[in-house]
Amino acid sequence: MAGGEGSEVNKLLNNTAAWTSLLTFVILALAWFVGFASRLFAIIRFESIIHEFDPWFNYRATHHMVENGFYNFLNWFDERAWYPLGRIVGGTVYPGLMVTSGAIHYVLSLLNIPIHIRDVCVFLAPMFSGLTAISTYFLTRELWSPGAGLFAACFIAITPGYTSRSVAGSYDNEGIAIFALQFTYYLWVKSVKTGSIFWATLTALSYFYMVSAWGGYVFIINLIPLHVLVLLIIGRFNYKIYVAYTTFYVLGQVMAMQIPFVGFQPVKTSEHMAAAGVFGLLHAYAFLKYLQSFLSRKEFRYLFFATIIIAVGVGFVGIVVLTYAGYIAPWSGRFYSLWDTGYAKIHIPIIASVSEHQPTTWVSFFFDLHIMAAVFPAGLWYCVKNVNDERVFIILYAVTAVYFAGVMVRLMLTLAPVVCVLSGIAFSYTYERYLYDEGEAKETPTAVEGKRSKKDEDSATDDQDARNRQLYDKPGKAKKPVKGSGGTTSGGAGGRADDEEGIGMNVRSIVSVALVLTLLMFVVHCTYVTSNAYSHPSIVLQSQTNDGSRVIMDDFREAYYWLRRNTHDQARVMSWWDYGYQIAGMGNRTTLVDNNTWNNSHIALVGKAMSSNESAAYEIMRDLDVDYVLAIFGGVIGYSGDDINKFLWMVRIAEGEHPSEIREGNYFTESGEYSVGPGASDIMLNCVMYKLCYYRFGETKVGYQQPAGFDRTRGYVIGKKDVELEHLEEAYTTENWLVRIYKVKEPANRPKIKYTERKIRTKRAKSSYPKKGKAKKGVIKMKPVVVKGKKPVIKR
Amino acid sequence: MKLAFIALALFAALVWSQDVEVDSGVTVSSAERAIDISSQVVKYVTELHVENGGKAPLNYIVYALSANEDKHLAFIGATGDNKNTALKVSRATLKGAKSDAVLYKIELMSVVAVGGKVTVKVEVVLAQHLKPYPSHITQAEQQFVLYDGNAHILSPYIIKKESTNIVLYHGHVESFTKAEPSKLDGDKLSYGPYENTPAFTTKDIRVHYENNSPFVVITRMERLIEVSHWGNVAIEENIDLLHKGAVLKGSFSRLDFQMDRRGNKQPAVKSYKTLLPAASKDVYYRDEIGNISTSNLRQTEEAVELEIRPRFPLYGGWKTNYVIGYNTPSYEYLYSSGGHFALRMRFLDHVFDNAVVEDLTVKIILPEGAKNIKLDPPYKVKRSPDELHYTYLDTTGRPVIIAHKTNLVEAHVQEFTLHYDFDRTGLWREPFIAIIAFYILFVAVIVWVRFDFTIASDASSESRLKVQSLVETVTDAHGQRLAEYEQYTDAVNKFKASKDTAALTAAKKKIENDLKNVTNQISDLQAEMKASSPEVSDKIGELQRLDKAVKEQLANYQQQAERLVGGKVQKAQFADAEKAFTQKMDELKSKMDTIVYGL
Repeated sequence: MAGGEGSEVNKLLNNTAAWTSLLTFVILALAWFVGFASRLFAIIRFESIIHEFDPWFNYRATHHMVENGFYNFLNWFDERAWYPLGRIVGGTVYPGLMVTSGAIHYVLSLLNIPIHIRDVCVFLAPMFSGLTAISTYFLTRELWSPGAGLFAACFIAITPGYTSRSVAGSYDNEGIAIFALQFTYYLWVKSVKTGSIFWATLTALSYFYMVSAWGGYVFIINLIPLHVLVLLIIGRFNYKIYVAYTTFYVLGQVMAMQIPFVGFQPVKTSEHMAAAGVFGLLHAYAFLKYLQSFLSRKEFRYLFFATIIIAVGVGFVGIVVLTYAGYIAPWSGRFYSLWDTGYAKIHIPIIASVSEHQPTTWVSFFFDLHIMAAVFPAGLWYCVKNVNDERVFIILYAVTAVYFAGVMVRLMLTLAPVVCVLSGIAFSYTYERYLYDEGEAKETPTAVEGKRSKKDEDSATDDQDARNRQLYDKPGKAKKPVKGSGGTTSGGAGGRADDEEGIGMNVRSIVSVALVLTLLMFVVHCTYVTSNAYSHPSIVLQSQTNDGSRVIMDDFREAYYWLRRNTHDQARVMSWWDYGYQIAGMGNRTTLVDNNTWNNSHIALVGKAMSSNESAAYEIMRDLDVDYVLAIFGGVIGYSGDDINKFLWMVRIAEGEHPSEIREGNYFTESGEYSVGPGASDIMLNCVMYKLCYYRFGETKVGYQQPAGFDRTRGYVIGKKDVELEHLEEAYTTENWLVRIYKVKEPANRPKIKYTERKIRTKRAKSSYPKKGKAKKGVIKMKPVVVKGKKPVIKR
Repeated sequence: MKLAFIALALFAALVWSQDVEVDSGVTVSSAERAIDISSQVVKYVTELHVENGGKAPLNYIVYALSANEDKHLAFIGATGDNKNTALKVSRATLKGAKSDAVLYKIELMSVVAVGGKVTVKVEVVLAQHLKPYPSHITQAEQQFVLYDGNAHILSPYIIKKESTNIVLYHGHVESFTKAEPSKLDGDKLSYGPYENTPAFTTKDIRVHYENNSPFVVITRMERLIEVSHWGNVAIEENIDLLHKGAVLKGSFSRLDFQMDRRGNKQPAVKSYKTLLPAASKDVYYRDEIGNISTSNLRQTEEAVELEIRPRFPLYGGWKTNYVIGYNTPSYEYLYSSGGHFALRMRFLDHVFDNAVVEDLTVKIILPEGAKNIKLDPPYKVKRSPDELHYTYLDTTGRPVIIAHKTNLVEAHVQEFTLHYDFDRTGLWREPFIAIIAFYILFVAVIVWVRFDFTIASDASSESRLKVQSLVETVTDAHGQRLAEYEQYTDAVNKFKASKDTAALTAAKKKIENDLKNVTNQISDLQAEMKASSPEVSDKIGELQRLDKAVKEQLANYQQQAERLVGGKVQKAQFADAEKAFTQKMDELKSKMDTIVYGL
């Protein structure tokens, strides 16, 4: 009896499938948890708050949707933005993000779980990072093996390249878009593998979600056709691809057009023409394949080349003609800047002015990817070596993503997932080779059978757990051999080299331990970067005092809340576009320009107002009905991201539209430097931005040793200390002078002309009246006689 | 329209107020009035020594306020000889009274017999009675206010001797109405003593003086009390503030503000203290856009002191709002007897000193299933219809009691009692719901995993599964067979030592029998698989061939052993044979293993 029970237990313990799925489940759950937890630094240090700029708009839009319903959201005309133009939000926004969090909020409120929409928004990105990890697991499993999938899932959960855009509070499109991207790719690979309409339809659905979430969907709609095209060229065409692509293309494009912001772009813009071209080409190819059975080899070759050339030629000419005829929109400027990094700087300064559109430095590759930056080429090599239909896809994905990440810092985000996938493959493959022990082969096969895959997973778990929780690893265990994982796990890995028997035990253990150590360092690095670089809300500043205690500088919210409570509800606030979303979100006031930089000339007008002198600016401000002007000034606390440092971009953008009035050169010192110090040009010292920032700053002392008017950010004394304002008046300045708000005065009742500017100079114009002291009461000569009358009584 | 309204008001007044009579024989022998106008509220403390010189015993006295004062009246209370019990005060009308004074009837604890005396202390608080003048000031200027009052104590009785002391804010006094004898001494202003003042004597006075104390008014306050029977009472207060002092004119300069040497005497509010109950914890202080990080919390014996700094200093006319919330243990406030509970808490709690609340709404959320709810407020409040509130795992909703009151001051910090019945077992309902939900979830997962929900059966995947299970059986059988080989070898080795032929034969018979069974089993499986997957079947065939080779080897080895025992071969020769055998066996075994792995 007892024996029988024992054997049952044994059977249970030896149930490979159960163990594998349990371990997979546990590892993925842990990856999700760690990914979620490591993104909460900002919440723990500060609070549950929306970060940065764009998230504030997304939050505001979500809030609007939750309050007013989905259809009102789609029809929302936001009169608080882009005054006096307004913005049709429903038609100019990717609604996926708002709909996702709105749906979560709706479901939770149905379950009587009272959670504020803000908290849903704050925690959305960390939640989705877990889903990203899981979809990465599936993608890698399809491409290589479940073991590699687990590695990749754990990598993506914590890699800084992805964390940077998905920490709690970073409520942006990218947070959910990377999940949609990975999931679409997984489904695409699956449909290429199976050639089933079912999976292709799912791919299209997932693509639809991606389109609704992020403008980066263009990457998918170009990468998938590229994959198909390359498969055609290298002669890997089969009907599976045909079924998968045609289904995906037709359904995907039709669904993408349902998003109001996308509209007819899928058939009208150049960005989508590659997909259409490949769609046509695929049909031509398939048709030729069909003809092949009727024709002789020679005839076919002739026909083949003729058709392909004609198809390509006609397609290309067609697109070019349609583009010239205006049916298809040409490439947008943002697109050109992907090919020519200098393009934006010359033609569209507004794009170049955003720091995340700058080309990436090598340092930031290492910073965001750490060891994976070095390992993923190995994974890529394994994929090239053991190529099949799906792996062509990941190779193309890697190559294009690396290129784009190199062009723009921001696109590091699309690189991170593929790097994780390939590094997962590289690590998994390496461990398969090096965590092998002949000793175990001598065990009875029955025992090995049970233990084999368990150990395989075990060692993976060890590594992952070690990395996830930063445990010190047990090298002895990690070294523990795994027999034949190539058999169970790398179903498609195929080419396991036969020479592995030749690797000595010592080499194996050294390599394994070294890899485990790098993985450990990877975890440490990721945690460090996430904690120190990517977990700052940026609307709350923090500094340390000498005794180590924390000082929180909450100036932004102080100013925005002041605007919210103490200005007229319809007040219009002029500021540089960076702060538009925040003023609208936190201050709830109308702005002239904001982070949705769709109208360059309007921004240039604001830039012109900021960079011209006060009276010229006053005219612009009166024309635009401005009530308040807001400037960010970091000179008191040494905050470097302030408006004076951004000022050159304002000048440049203004110059682009008003070259006759604003010239960048006028704002430099004689030696050609950009400075607000003593050497600064007069135009610089008299422009509105200078005045806004330095009004009465000359009277302050920031430290005991520093002279009055010492600017901490720039590190020198400002050029002009006695700043006087004529048409503006200080309305509010925050505690650390970080935000300064000025009220635009009403025009004077009687315009006063300075004596020097008068055409007719009366003799008495220079007043000789004593300003102080007791002047005699004035007497009006020829005083009119006032006849006192009675007020008529009005009966009511 | 207007007339109708007046008529309605009159009717209401008639209904609400009671008629009183003033006996001309009743006199106030002496009265002292202290007026405190050093803050934004006006506080009168009037001590009346009443003599009943009339004909009938006296069971109430009448107190009067001018119409202007009554308009701003926030609180009126009176105590008699016993300082601890409040006397009942109600509005009253006097038949035939000519004065526009508003009268209040103060009911005494005990009847004052003819010729008797009684001392009554009346406390009156007027809110928003002081008018800033000038109404707009710049940042550098001081705030001056006007106080309008009466030099005499307004009374329906003759006052034999009276005096009034006014406490001003420490600062400059611009002007005050003189009514001899009146005297200004520092920040104290006194009127009187006057003697034999007739009933309803008025002498309007006006004091124009500096008052930089915060004139911050809470324009709206919502106090939410959520009772949990798990031992917690959560309180959240939603507060709208407005500085109702002199409005800031011109610009606000941060530099001037930082350099200002007036300190707390600026007419701006930088911070103030809120006292929370001593046991409160998890305090939060935030507004619509997040935490307000500029606050300090200090624990003292009697209370938790929260130093609140609004995001920006409040100048005249500036507004802000915030939410403050905390948890307190319920044992301090919740009393029970069986299934009957009583919640005793403050209707209004301290926000800052000398606060004025224009509009207060108190919402009390009781646990789900509370019945027979009865609110016992400390003063008259307006009840709104009860609502239902849904939160975590609620099904029927929690009853919400809503009460309003306008124009409150600090004197209104008093306790209400809320009685209700609650079934204690109701406490376990929500955990139970959670358990059920998880149970259902797990059952659903089990059902999903264990049952086949496919509509059409997929032949290929099914056969694959079948093959897989067969392969597993083969692997098992193969393992068994390997064990048998081992046993065979063991048996032979044992025979070598014991030379017991009978035992060997027995063992051999048994093992061969077993092996035969296993081999047959594998052969059967092979035959079974032949149709579905010929590849696997071929491999198993290979395995069987190897098995035959193994058997030969074993037989060979046994023969060798028998020969050795029989002395037919030399030991060395046998050793060679044994070595060859082991090698061969290992080779075969590894070949078999490779095949099995390859399955």
